[in-house]
Amino acid sequence: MKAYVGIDLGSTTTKAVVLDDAGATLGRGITNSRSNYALACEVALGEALIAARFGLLDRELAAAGMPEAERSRRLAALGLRFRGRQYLAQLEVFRRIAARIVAHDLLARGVAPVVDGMLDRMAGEARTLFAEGASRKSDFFRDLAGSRFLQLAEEVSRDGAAAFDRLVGVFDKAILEVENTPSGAEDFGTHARAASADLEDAPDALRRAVEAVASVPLQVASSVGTGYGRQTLPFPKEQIRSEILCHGLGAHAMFPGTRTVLDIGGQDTKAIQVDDRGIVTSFQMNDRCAAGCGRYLGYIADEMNLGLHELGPMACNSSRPVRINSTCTVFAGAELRERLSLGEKREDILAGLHRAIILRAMSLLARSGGVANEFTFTGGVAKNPAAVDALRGLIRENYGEVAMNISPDSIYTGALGAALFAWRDARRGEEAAA
Amino acid sequence: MNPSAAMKDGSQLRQKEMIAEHYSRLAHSPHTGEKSVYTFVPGNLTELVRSFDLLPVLPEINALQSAMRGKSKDYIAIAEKLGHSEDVCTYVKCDVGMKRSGNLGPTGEHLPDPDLLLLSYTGCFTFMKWFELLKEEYKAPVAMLHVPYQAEGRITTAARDYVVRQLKESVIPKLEQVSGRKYDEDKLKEMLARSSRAEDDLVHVLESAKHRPSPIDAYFGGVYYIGPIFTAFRGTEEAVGYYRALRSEVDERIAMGKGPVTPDGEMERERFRLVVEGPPNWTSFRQFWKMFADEGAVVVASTYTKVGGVYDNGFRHDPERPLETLAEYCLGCYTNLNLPTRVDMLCRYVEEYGADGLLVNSIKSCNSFSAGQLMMLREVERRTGRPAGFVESDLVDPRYFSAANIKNRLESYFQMIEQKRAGGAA
Amino acid sequence: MNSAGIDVGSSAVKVVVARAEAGASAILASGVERIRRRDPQQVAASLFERCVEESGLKRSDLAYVATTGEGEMVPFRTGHFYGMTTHARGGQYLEPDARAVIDIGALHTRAVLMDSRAKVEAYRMTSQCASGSGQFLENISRYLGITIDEIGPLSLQADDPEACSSICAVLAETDVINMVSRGIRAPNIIKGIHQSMAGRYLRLLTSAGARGVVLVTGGLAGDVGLMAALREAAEAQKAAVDIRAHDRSILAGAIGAALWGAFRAERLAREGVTFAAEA
Repeated sequence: MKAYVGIDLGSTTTKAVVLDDAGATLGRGITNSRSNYALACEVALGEALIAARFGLLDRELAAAGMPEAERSRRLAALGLRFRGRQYLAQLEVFRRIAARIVAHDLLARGVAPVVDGMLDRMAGEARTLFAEGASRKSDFFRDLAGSRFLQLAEEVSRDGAAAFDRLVGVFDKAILEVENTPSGAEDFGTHARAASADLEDAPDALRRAVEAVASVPLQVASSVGTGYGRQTLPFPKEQIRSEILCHGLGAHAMFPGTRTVLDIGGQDTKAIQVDDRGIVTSFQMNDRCAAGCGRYLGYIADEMNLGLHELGPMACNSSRPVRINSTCTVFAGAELRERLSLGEKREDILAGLHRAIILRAMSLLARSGGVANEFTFTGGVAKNPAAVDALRGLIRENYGEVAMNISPDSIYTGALGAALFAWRDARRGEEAAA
Repeated sequence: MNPSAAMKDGSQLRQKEMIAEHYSRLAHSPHTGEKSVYTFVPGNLTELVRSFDLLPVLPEINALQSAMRGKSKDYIAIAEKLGHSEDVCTYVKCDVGMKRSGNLGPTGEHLPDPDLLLLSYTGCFTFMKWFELLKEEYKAPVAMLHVPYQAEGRITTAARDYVVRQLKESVIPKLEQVSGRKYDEDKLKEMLARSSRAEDDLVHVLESAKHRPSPIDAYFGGVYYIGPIFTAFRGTEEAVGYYRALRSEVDERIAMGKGPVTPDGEMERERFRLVVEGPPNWTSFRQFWKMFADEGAVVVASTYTKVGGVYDNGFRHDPERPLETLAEYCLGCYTNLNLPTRVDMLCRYVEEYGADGLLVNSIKSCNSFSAGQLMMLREVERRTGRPAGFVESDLVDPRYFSAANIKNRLESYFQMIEQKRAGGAA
Repeated sequence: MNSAGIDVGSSAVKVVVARAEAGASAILASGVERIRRRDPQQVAASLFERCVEESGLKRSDLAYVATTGEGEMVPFRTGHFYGMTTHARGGQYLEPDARAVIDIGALHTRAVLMDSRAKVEAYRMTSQCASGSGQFLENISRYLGITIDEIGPLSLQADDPEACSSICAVLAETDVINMVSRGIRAPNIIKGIHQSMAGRYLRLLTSAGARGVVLVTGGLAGDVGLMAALREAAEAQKAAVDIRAHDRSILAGAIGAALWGAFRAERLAREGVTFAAEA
């Protein structure tokens, strides 16, 4: 069957969206970006195609007469097992690479059995890690394996088996290679069969559906790539679309009433106006000042010794936000230290910082032509509750009551727009050929 | 950047030679005894200055030429060390740094100290501060010509008379004093007649962009075309000859159905026609231009090419009214026009030149240009119904040219035009 | 008299156990441990324990346990010293001719001038951003697909450094992403960053008025590429400084803390005050 693909190569994550012949979303995939752009795109696409096959599984089971509640329960269970299988496959790649690194590093020689033992434990835990209801902070192998590896490293170094720094060094080297080695994690058939075998009560219908879907050829009929911060993308030029247009169209596809889009990503902020067809009519982007971008928050998190995801919730606990003047990464660190030394509360300072970032975005919005109903907020920062609160308040203050949309899938907005462009390009090609 | 490598036209080479000769003449002026007058491009009184056999020096041109030759970064660093802040006009900092580095001009030859600073004030407040600095730096006398802003959107009799009175009562006496010569009105009239001829040809060249494909790029190419007339040559035989040759060159391109010359040779296919507002970036001029040329984007009209005089609205220097005509010229420079007039001009360009839209290049360190640009952009968008784009860079500070960011915005803008054209099908 | 110094930084903990005798101090044991998202207190406690054991001493043999950096939260400390004083003291211990140290940490950089007895005379800190810090280099290594340890050696392989003009960390990251996509080689990217950092450190030193021997302290002293860039920059600008690094530069803060701690313990002992060693 034909698939239409959009890929959004971002500075921190790479996203892919796959559409079917009718232009409906079949699957989405995401991975962390890496220096090998082509591979990042390949991995994201692989993930999206897997998700697409899960979509097909659902259709297959529906056709076999399985009721919806059961379908979603069974597919969720299968999905978890599937992830566990993928994780194990990547662990094995990691094991191979780590073994080679250890063998080449005179200082690390003694740690080979220690690392092996740690990886054995991690493999043994995979089932628990992907059990129903288990919480995972991230589904990226780097984060998942990384945090557990470091915990275990701490444990074994306390027992004196190997130095913590040595083990961490092995991880740092190995993970880079793992990320740039295709791992076969995208092999749907293998993992799906194994996953359905892992399920205690998998009905025959499910096994049959897995077999059927595994053999469906998914052919990428056309694809469009987008992404910022790169002068070159691993796509042919005619398949590249500006991420401004992709975000405009993607937001329109998610929320057809959208007229204004704000996207706050890692390296840049974009304010976009679209018409009733999702066509961009005006846009503004930040230029040589990165104030108000997502990365700024990353540096604030470093400065405060917190995780990025902890900032928003902490800021939400503020009762008296501090007025922060600088959204400049250069000055914010200094201002932050000064505030802390004055005895201001962390949550109040953070609330002030979030507001400052959003104020920058507000001026960009104003420059692009203001905020019209409906307003759609996308990008990584749209997941940050404190930023959302600040934005909501400032929009009400400046533009009155405006419907504000935030999709849980907002991270895929750009990729979705790109996929829609790919789908339309293909349509036009077919019409021209007809 | 070396434009002659990119532009093989005879006019280009000729223009380059003219400018090089002028710098060389300036370098030798201490030996030849020729005296020099520093002045600004908008409202420059080249004919009047030259009628006294004085040589014009234009610090703005020195700065942009230094930038094109990759020297501005170090000059700016020197000025910032002296205490000029990041926000100061980078032309000024480049100029100050150049002076402190031995006052070697862009061609590497020594620039003479000014015998007079002729401050023609036309819509840029920084000009006053700039010459205030140079007055300190060189201990040179200043002749001030205050040109009232066209707040009403037209040149009033009172404003014209006010400028003429200044010319008579302060500028000309100062020029007489510095040069040791008497004001020679006949000589001035001859020069103004030559100006008018060159202006006719220049307008013809700029308006050739109404053709499809446009034979010229009226912004990136345009800055070369306006070089002689805005710098030191207006009213000279060289200028008349240059514009005559340029005109026939452009006519030839039209006859052959050719598009403009770009840094990479002939443009194959004209895909976008743009009107541009704002000065170009000089430090990455070629790279900036390529971003347009690579996408098949041609600038068919620009306001920047009117800072040293607006001629396509019918104004010509009139030798029969020498001082009045100079006053009207100064009052009519683009930088001296009020915002509604600028909006009218831009809308007229979009319509008459069949442009796909307006693009603004907003200059970080130039408030004279940037103030009001967003309002203008919105207004032109509203009145013409064509999409507008916005990029940000700087005149001569390379730190403010973020290639990836600008390219990204330009490409987005071009795709936006395309999407609009296709009615959403793209 | 024996003492210990604990320097808690934002990315690593450094511990030194020293015997401080007038004119003949010696380091008995030392250790560096990267924190890597662990609890810094626990890292400090276990590293301290290991170093004490390695020194052959017992906890009760230590007259003073001094902390510096962010070590104020170490519960078993005797007292705390400010970073600039400990880096000055430790820097001079490692490099007796040094009259200035530049402490390049994970998040901040400080230039400290001192007299021949390590008394601080002037002090400057970058009022700014992470783009000139260890944390920034760590982020960059992610975009380049290399480990932090490879940064220094790679920098030395540059043949055509790519200028990195951004003073803002976020934009510098964007620049690096662009460079990667333009196919600029990692050594040239890193060298460009090192040059921009070096330029900034040199300005910091000259604005503080540093002259003569300057010792680089802190974790980045081990970055051979950065050190080379610093020396090249000093030479190019004819700055009257002689930039040096010591293979124990990273311990400077902890050494200084241990020595100042011993000094204080001695003075207090003369006044009849002793510290009950904590279990």
